[in-house]
Amino acid sequence: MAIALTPGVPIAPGGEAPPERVKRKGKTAYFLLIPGMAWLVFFFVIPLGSLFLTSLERPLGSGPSAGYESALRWQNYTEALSKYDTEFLRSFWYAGLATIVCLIISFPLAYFIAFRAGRWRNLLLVLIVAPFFCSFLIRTYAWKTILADDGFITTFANSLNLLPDDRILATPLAVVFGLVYNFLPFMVLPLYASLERIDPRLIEAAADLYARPWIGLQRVTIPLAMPGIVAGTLLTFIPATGDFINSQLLGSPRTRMIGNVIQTQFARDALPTAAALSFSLMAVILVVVFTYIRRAGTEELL
Amino acid sequence: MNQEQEITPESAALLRGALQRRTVLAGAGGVALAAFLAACGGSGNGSTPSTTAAAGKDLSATEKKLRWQNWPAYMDKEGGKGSTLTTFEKQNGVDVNYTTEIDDNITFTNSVQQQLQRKQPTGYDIVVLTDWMAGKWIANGWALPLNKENIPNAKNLRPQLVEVPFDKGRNYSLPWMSGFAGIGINKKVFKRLTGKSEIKSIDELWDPKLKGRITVLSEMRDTMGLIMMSQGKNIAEFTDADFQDALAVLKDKVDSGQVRQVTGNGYLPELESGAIAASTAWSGDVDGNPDLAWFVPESGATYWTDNMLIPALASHKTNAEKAMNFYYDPENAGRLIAGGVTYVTPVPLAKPTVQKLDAELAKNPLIFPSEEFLSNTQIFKVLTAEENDNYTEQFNDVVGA
Repeated sequence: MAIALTPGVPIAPGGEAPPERVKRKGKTAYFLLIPGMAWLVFFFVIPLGSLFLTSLERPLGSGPSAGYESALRWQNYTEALSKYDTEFLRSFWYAGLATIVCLIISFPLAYFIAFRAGRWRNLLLVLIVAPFFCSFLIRTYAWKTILADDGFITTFANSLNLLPDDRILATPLAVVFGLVYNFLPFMVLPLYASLERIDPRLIEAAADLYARPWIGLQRVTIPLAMPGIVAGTLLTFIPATGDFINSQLLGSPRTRMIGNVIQTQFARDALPTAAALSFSLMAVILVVVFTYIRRAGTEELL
Repeated sequence: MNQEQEITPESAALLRGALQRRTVLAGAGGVALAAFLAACGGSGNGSTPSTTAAAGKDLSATEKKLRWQNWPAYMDKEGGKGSTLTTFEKQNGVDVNYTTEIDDNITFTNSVQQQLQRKQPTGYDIVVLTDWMAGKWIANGWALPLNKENIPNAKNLRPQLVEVPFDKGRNYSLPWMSGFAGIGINKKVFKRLTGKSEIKSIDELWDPKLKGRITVLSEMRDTMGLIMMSQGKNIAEFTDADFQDALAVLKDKVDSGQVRQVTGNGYLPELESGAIAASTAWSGDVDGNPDLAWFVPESGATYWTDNMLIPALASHKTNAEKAMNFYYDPENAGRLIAGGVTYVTPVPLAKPTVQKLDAELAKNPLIFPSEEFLSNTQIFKVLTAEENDNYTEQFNDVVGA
């Protein structure tokens, strides 16, 4: 996802400033944009264009080893999507589930840090970020040990007959859990940022006007935290949909997500198939995101 | 609220978030980037395979260097102090930059394919690849012909390995190590689940008591080879129908959840921890751990070889050939084995040296296999590029690797 920080038209400090001055300042702003734009052009627009052209290439033989040539073969999209529709839907299902779980866990946590943590606030924020000091591959590997079949957690859950497969690893549960774990901070931090900005007096006012705590939360806190909720869900949902590490390490062949398919197709040189899947994924995510933002009514985020 | 604030907390958080997301994705980014770079300009890939590799300028005489890329656990002490590699460096005055970054034939080849196709040097003087991938390199003109005058010891090569289909007479490649794919078990867990202390056939892997506790290798030739052999087929000359029969079995076992995962080397820690009870496994991996045991199925094991190649445009070709010659010297080959590389050496004459250094090792059939042992192993047939595409895709779709 590109949270493009669109350059706003620079606002002159005084409305009375002479027009030339405004114009010159505008030029400076655009001049300063050059490095960023160059970066975007070279490392985003051009590769994206190349990826798009690749997605339409025509095979010269019956498989990847015969090579491909430039063409406008739109069937690449229909073929790839009809073959890997299960993995496609599964990715959105897992990512959606992970996002909801993240939100349920993060809201109380962020609320606590913002309003109740007092002098522990900074420490708690550091603790949220602390896992990033270690590579997420290593952390995901660590979960393999923690959730091992003979490990404490699995044995305990089994003793309560909670697990249909008698194990956690190599099940959808483990993959969704991994997604929740790896993307939780992306939910907590934006939520915290918008909760922390809420004036506590507004919540008090709600109570003074006889709103029960639950109503106050519904009518005052949640609407004010909406920008954080939207940002957090997007930052969680989008990367989670394309993730392939959690499925690869914690899952099984039956939990394969679209990221795994794309990776495998690239590895076997079936570049058009992989490119078509990547593009479809981007397109679907964009549609989902825009629909969601329309609904949530926070266009100012983009 | 603070309207005058220029950067609102949420945009700051977004920025922070985006930054961290990038950090998080950096790990996976390596793979993604490599794949992405492969995508740019990947068109026409392989469409015009040049049959002759471009030889680079050989700087061996002036630059006493050698850049060697190998698999892990393939060199005593991984080439560190006191290893055979330091002996080679001392004897020949060549400074070797030895790394072990190859962990998968396809992934590694993808990482240098762009250079090879554009006739740019890869930076490596020796790479080590499994038979079928070595064959692909040779067919595509990515490997240089060896100057056998620099490698007189090549005569020590195990006779069965000389006339291989992908490189008749070994003009481009020399074996580094060979091994087998069979069945590995965690003795304790396997006994607890099945009550047996050894496993004799692939079919026993499909025992319902082992449901969700077995894995198979993601190397198509090993997994499909073992299953086809268990169905009484000869993997040196199987038919498409044989492949489909075996694939149907695998699909059934994956879909039913019998097979927990399909992995490369990743099966080993799982087998050691007991998360899985049994797995199709490579001989040298399991050897040496008392908790594990490795078996040749009654229907036989697959026999594969990893080969040294000199990539096109390598700039230290003579030095590379000197190194090959060094390791084909029976004494050096023996010291390598005694140093802990417990695979099948391509130099049978190394046995006396190993005998002297470690008598137990010399008896190990996984290092010095007898004719009888070898007769129960099979080499996967050479696939055409088209067959390889076709079978790999079908296999991938079943195992979801």
